[in-house]
Amino acid sequence: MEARDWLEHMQDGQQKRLLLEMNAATIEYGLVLSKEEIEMLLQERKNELKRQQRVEFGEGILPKLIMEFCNSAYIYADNYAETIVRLQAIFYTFKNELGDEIPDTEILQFMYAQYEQFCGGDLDYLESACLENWEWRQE
Amino acid sequence: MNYQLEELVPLVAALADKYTMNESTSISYTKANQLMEAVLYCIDVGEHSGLPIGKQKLSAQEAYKYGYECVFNKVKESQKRYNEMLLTFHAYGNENYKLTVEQAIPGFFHYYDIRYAPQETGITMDYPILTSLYGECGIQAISKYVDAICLEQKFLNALPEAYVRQILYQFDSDYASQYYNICNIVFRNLMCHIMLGKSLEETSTKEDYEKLRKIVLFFGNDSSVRKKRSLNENLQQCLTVLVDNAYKGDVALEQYLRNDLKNFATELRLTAKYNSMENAFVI
Repeated sequence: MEARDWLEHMQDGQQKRLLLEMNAATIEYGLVLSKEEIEMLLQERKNELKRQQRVEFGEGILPKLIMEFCNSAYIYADNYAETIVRLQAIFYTFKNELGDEIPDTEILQFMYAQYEQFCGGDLDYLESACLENWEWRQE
Repeated sequence: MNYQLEELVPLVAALADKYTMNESTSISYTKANQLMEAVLYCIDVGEHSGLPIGKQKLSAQEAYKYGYECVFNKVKESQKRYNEMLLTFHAYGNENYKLTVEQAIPGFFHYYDIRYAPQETGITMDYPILTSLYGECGIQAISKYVDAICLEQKFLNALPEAYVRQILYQFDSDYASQYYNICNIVFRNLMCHIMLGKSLEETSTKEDYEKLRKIVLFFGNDSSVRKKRSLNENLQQCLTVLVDNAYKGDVALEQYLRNDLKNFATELRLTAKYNSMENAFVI
C-alpha cells in the first residue's frame, strides 16, 4: 500500500481548534494567530509534511513548537506566523535527519537554543548550519 | 476480510505512538508504511489461523489484536520445533545447510520484530527446500521453512550417515560447498532403488542404469499425456511404498517429498532420452 494513498486523508479540524486555544497562552508575549493565519499554517503543515514525506498523528508539532518559541527574543507580532511556518519546516527537516527515535521535545529544545544563542534569530542559518551542532551537543 | 482505511489508520497511529514511546508527533512515510504493513500482516495471519472461538466477525482492532497473538504463538511454536530438530541436526558435510540452519535461522528468531515489522523475514534462507515459499514472508515463511527442514532431517536421519554422505559424494565430490538441496539427491537414490527392486545394500552397476532407462522409456519419451501420467503415477506409488515402509506412512513427509516428483520425472525422461542417467542420478 503506498503511503500517499492513505496519509493524505488525515483530518486537521482538531488542529485548528488547538491552535486557537494556544492564543490564550501566547497572548502574554504579544503573539496571537488569526483564523486566516491558522488556516495558512495548517496548509503549510500539509504541504511540508508531503514535501518531507512525513505523516503526523494526533495534534501534530505546532502546539509544542509554538509553546517552545513563544518567548523568543526574535519573534514579534508582525513576524509570528511566518516564523512559525519556517520553524515548522526546519523541525521536519531536522526530524528526518535525526530519525524518528529522537523525541520531539529534544529537537525543539535544541532548535530554540541554537536560534536564540547562535543564530540571532536567523532562520536560514538555523536551517543550513546548526544541525552540525547536534552531534557536538551529544558528545 | 477487507477493512476500511478509517478502521486501519487509528491502529497505525497507536502503533506509531508505541514505536516513538509517545515522544514523536510524526513519523516518516517509510516508517508509516512499515507499520501499516505490520498491521495488515497480523490481520492476515489471524485470518489464516481461523476465527477465534465464538466470533463470527471481528472489528479491525480485534482482528489485529488476535492476529498479533497468532503471530506471537507461531513464533513460539516454530522456535520450539526448531530447537527440538537442532538436537539431532545433521548437515552431512554441506556448509550451506549447516550455516543456514545453525546460524541464519537463530538469527531470525533473535532479531524478528513481532510488533513493528512482523512482515520482515530478515534472512535469505540460502539452503533451498523442496517447498515453494513464494508470497510468504515473516514468520509465515520461516515456520514453513523450519517445517521443511524438520521433515528433511526426519527423512535423512533414518538412513545411516555414512550412506547419505556416500551418495552425496558420488553425486558430486564437491557437494560440501554447493548450494543445492541435498535431500532430493538421497530421495531420488532411494526411489531409483525401489523402481529397480534393489535393496540399499546392493551396489549399483552400469546395467542398473540401463535397466532404469528402459523402465522410464517404457512409459514413453513422446508427448503422450497418458504415458507421462503413468510415469508420474509410478513415481507416486514408489513414494508411497517408501514412506509407508520406512517412515510409518508419515503424511507430511510424503507431501513434502512429492514436491520433487515432477522435476524428478522430467529429469528421468530427459536423461533416459539422451542416455545420460549416470550424470544425474546416483543408484
